[in-house]
Amino acid sequence: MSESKPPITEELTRSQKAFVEAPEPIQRLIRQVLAEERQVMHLSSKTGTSIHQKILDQVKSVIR
Amino acid sequence: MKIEKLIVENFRQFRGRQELVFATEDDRNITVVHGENGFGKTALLNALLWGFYGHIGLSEDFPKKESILNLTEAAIARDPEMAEASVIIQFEHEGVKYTLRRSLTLAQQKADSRKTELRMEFIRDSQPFHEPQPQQRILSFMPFGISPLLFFNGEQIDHLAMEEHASRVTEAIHQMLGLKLIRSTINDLRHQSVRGKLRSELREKTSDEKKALIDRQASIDETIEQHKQRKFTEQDNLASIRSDLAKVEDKLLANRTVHELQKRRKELKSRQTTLTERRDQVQQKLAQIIAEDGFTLFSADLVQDGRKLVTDLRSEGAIPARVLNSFIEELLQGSNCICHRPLTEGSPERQAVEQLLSRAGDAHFNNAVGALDNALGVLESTRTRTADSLRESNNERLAIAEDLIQIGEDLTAISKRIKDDGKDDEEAADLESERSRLDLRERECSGEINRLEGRLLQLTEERAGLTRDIERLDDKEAAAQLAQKRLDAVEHSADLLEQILEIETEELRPLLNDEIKKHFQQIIDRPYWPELSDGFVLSIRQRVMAEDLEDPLIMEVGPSTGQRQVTSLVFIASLVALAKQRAKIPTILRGLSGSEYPIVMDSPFGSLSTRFREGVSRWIPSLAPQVLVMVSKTQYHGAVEDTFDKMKKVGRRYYLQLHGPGLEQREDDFLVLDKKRYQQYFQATEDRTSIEEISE
Repeated sequence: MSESKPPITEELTRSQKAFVEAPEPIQRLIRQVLAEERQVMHLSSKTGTSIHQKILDQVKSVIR
Repeated sequence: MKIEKLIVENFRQFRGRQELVFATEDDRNITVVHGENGFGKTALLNALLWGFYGHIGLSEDFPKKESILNLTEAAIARDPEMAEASVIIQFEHEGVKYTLRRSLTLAQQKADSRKTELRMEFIRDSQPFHEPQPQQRILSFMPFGISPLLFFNGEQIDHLAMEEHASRVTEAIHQMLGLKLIRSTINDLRHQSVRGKLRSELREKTSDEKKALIDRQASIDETIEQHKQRKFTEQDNLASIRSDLAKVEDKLLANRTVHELQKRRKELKSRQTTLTERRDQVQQKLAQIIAEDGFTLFSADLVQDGRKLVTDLRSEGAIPARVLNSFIEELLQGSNCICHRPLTEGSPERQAVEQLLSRAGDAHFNNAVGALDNALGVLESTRTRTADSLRESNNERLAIAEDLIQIGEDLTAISKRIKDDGKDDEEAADLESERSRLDLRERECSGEINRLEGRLLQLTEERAGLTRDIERLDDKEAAAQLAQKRLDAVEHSADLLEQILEIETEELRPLLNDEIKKHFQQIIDRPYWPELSDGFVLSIRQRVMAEDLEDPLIMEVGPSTGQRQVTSLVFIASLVALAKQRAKIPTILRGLSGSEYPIVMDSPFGSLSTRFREGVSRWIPSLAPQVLVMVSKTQYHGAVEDTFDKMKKVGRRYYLQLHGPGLEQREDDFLVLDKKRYQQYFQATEDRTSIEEISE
């Protein structure tokens, strides 16, 4: 499931408001990192998932 | 998820193949397993945990975790590769039927019992499919973190309703309601391999001055993490000390020699807790008064001087001014007097009016003195009010302090008297010594937690200061600027997620409280109820009426083990209920769907009074869509049996038979259900347990 941006027309919750008020690159970074985390969230051990490298790659691709 | 069948084969005391079919009908959703202590109820609970999660899933109270294979099977095995323990679980999840099989051979058990073999198949469109990643699949249906909330020993569940376990309550909310994803994202963003790596990259490219600050910040982060871990450990220690202390105090209460003294001590300690809380509130109020209005207490001289100034100006006739200079200036500008005489330049009339300018008052000055006069009035009344409030609060603080000293002395006297009485009652003396020891440890532990919290606050402030210092130092090189930008983005993202997690957890609190109250009311109709407080502490509140009070007082009560157990059960049930409607609860996370979970409870009635037993058994069908209850004869007979019989919600019923050398069935040891007798003990050459179904 993609981490799409909540539509502005909806009445936003406090947390959604905090999220959309953040700078766009931060929003994008969070969405992409959450998407990576979703892939490994059910694992009891993250060893060998290279999640940290994937997050690092996301940071470097979003913040240039 | 609904569990349809559990098959155990050579798993611990279950030798050979044993089956247990679960009740799955909505109107008969309870499965009961009757079994005495030591028959294998805990092993059955662990068979489910082992089946779903393997070695890591086994509960803390399950002894010899490395020994899964039935001992007789292991002893007679000729080929260690052929002797095998296995658990098969058939279940249905979101319309798909699954069969999982976990097994462990004797050879593997000897090598490493944690390495089990897991296979899973599912049926879709009447076709069987092999699941290539069975463990990952199971964890996606039922994350490991929620297993202690779904499969548990009812007698040990009361810890959730202990103040020092607020963090576990929050963790349970995060786990069960899907917010764990945010928590693990925050942790990974701040991980050494992410934030640490970015910090190293920046360190390589930045100035020496900034490098030193970055190093200091990294070191503080490490210290913060260590302090947090130590705090968690101390909180666990405190919970265990308090639990031991409660047990010793219960024993003292049950002791005839010291019963009255212990009863009095309990009352005094309850009053001590209430007074200590009140003292803290009063001290907070005093601090607030001093912070907000304390300065007014030092304004007496200033007010006096100001008042003198205003009075002097009044007596001099400077204020209020009889004629304002702005009025005179208007007349001169219009060249016409108020008496209609022309005020032409050089005329004696104009000169006379011009002379008035030197005596006329200034409008701004007039207004300023008025404002000063008013401000002096406000300052004076605030000073009086502040002094009164301070006096009142301080008197209360002193009175409380005196009461607390008196209570302390009374408690010391009680302890001494119990020890003295103990000359004739050794048990009382021993219990009192143990109580004193635990009491001291409790105070030491609480002190250490307070110290760690204070240090954490200092470190957090120091870290914030360093962040500001780092931000002030601009990098000249583009590479360093980029590295800083990336590090800032990671910090910002983690901080924002932390804030979001806090908001979402906080917003779930009223929803959970509604569920908690709803569930608790189904159990017992009494003037008290459990509540999830601001700090995520599960507490019990009571409505207290008194003759001289217009409105009832709402007070927190020190819960008994039984009350804590019920509160914890109700909390879990509320989480299970909310998890089912998760999709409707707003979150920044997309695609969180509702999930149904079964609940498996070992001995849920153990520490409960008859009143609670009846209420809990009446409520169990609504606890979760599917419930398995394992219960001993003494826990079942009476209130639970009567309620279950009346409700007719039990879909399946089993009992455990214990076989072994020297086990003869005594007349008074039969399990009697609905006037039928079931033999529980069987004389045999080997120790084993079997599962037998009872037809409803």
